[in-house]
Amino acid sequence: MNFFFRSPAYLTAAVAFGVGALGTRTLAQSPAPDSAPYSVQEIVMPKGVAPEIGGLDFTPSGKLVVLTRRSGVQMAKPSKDPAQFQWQTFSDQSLHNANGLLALSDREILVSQMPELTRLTDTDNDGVADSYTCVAPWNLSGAYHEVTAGPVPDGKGGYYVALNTASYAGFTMQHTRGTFSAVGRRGRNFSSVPYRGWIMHVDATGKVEPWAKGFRSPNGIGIDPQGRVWVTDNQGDFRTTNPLYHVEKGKFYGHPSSLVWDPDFTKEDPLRDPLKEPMADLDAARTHAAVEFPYGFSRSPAQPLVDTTGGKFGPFAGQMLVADSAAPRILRVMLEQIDGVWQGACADFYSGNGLRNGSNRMVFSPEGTELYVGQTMREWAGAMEGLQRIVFHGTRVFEVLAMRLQADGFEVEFTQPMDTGSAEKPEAFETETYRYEYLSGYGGPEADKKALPPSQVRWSNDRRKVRLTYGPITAGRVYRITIHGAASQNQALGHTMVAYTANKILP
Amino acid sequence: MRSSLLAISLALSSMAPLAAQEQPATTTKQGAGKDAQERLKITIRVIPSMVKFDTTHFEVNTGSAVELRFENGCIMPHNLVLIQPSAENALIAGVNALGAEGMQKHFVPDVPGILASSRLLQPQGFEVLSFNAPEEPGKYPFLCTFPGHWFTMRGVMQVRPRGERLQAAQRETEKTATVPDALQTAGISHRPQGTLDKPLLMRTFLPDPGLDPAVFAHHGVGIPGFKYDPATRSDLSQKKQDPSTGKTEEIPQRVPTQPGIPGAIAVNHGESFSYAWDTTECRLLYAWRGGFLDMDPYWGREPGGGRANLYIPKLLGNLVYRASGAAPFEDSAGGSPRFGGYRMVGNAPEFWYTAGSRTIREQVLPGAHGRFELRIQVEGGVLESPWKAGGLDQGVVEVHPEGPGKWRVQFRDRPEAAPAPSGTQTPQN
Repeated sequence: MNFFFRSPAYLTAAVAFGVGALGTRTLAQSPAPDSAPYSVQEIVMPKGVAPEIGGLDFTPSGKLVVLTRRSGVQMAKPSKDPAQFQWQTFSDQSLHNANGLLALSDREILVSQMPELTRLTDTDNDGVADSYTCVAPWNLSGAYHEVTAGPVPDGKGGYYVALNTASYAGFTMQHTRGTFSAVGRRGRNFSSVPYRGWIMHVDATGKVEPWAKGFRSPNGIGIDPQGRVWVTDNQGDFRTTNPLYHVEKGKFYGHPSSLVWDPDFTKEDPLRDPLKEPMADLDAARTHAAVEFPYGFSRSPAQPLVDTTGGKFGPFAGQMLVADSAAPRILRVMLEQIDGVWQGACADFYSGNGLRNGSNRMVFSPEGTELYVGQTMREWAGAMEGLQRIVFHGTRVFEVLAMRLQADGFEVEFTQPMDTGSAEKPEAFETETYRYEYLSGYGGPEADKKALPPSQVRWSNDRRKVRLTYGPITAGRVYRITIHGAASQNQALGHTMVAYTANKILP
Repeated sequence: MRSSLLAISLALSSMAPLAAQEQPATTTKQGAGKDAQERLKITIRVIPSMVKFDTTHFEVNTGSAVELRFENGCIMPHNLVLIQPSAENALIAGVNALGAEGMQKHFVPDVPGILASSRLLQPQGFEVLSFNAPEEPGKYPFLCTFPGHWFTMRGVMQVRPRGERLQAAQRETEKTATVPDALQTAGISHRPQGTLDKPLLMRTFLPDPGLDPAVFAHHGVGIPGFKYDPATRSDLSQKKQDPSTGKTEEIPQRVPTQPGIPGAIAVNHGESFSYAWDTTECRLLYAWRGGFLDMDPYWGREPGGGRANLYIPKLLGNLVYRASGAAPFEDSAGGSPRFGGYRMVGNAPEFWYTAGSRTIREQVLPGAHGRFELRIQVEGGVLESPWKAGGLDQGVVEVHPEGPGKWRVQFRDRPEAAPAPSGTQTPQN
């Protein structure tokens, strides 16, 4: 039948819901806007400043520092009124695709530019940077994609910085900064100059060391209070979906191009091509992601940031938030360590409701009650640029608090006790499981997917935790649960989907 | 009769309940059986007062059951009309032909190619359209046909073959931003300029305007790559038949390199003077007058622009100086230069770098009468003037020693007849 002419067989009337129709039902409701626990405010930047945010930080004295792509570095002491920040220009120079910031003091900040990590200093205390020192140079083949993320402090006076690979959608220049490798130039995303696709470490004396390898487009690097390094990467070649990695020195994280600069890899053959290595060998050598974000959850993850507010920003202290630069969304990551390996679950933390698309960098306010979010898409998927803050109002939050692996299923914990009678039956926990294959192509499907209804649902006495029994959990699979009909004090669950990456299983 | 094909549309008393309704709507559907659960649900809202849909792209598989909810939270009336790929012109012509009948017909004319359409929804109204996606993959536009709205109020339903992964997984939260773009109001010029007294410093990719290759002694040499297919992990080639022999040849598909400089700093003193100083070679590379940079090839078109495709800005004006030969301090001091940074002296940068044991400071300043000068200060070792007669850099006219290790080097313009060569794409083999 021809669809193109409207035919009753193809276009049927559907039921629509109006207010009146719902009046007779007792259904859980999302919180009304004025009682929602979090809301977004638009921070007004000075006229003439393009708010394409590459970095956000607070100085120890409480000034917000905003790094922009083309309008330098702006500083302001935050005010309650988001439109009344008193901005001062710390630098009006156009730094090269600056995409990372660390504020050491009101007078000294570190900025990641494409060619280097730069220290900006206001030596004469007039509020304006007058000294720009190269802390560490980075090599460039000249592709637009070779941006950097970080720096994050190592706690010993040094820093970690993530270096993107080049993309074949860009160009290689005739004059490259750094030794050019024709072998490294091969590929979809490639590493034709050292050390593209690496996490770099700069120590307190300025010594630069290639620290971990195997990255594609690591536009997010964070460090937790225990000093562990976390890096997000972007779906693409050798990245079936968007991952979050716990990164340790010397390890390989799966994107092979960076290996051309690994002396161990090229020891016997200086022209050894990582793209010609058997997939099975690369697969065996790689360290897996702690969390594989389902592609629908995250399109393009950016900075990971641990909630260090100690509860001032809601019930998620110690958990990690991850900005998503290709959807109006911030993710939340709930990690646990099983058999020495990090893994865990992710869910939406905040989505839509005034949040702009393009979130790239985040920082908590010194008081801990606000999360500043800087956006930029650099004119790619349409302009999505600006500065916002998410304010916690101290009101009731009803979300999944944790998802923990069990031998035969999962325990899901909620921030509030579940109402009696809601989410009691297995159907309330619609579950599917699948895995991500290690593929050289650009992205990949959720493979071997199957529905997996829980065989048993058991609530704790305080109705905050539910044990879901599935039978044996399989390592190397993702378990995604959509929770239906969950209510607490007649309030609907804020975000109903949670997905767990099971790298290891319990004995 | 058309009205029987349209979904029911209801007016709501206020916008506030709209968000709350998502939950009950989903909850109620659960009991409706397997079919209802497999429907792909998409909600498209109107961004209030912006004449825009909040969703401009969504994806479905061929033949899949779609439930499209359209909500009008705007103060103006709007509709949503989903059409087949090439039907827009006929649709718009049809709308225009409706004339006075437009309102009555919800601005939906009787023309072929309409896949689904809502009524003209008054403020706070909504409607649910249920349909099966076409069997033909492709991009199916949707737009508001209220006269004039279609210029900005439009989007695309991408239909992918059955089973193919949908690039945009559909969830309530995945709609595009409802927040106006702050970039639009910032007014960033793509032809930025400083002034004589307050130069503008930009770190950016820069073009190589045909410099002596010896200048790039400390750069790597980029050579053209191959087009590459990540799925098969192979370089791509094209089959070509030689007409004389009839033999088929595999010709590798090359990707040219670009005449760019990745790590330089560009400084502009207004119309009268600009220069490029490189942080890899640690030297003045070239100078020009009569403009600065056209950033469109790098930044896309103003104001937000599309994605750029070359990433190397164009020089505006005329070159008046080009470096040539090896760097002045290289042989005498030993070792590669290492860029240290710069400090602002007055409003102009003074660059510094190290070469072996020496630290060298350089400032480039515009001067009168077609001249500009380089102020050099060397610490850490006595040195004769690097700018000897017939010196390494052409264009030196006068070297003024200013004390131990200090020189003022004057250059005279050597204007080039042709406009500055810029980073145009020159395929190389």
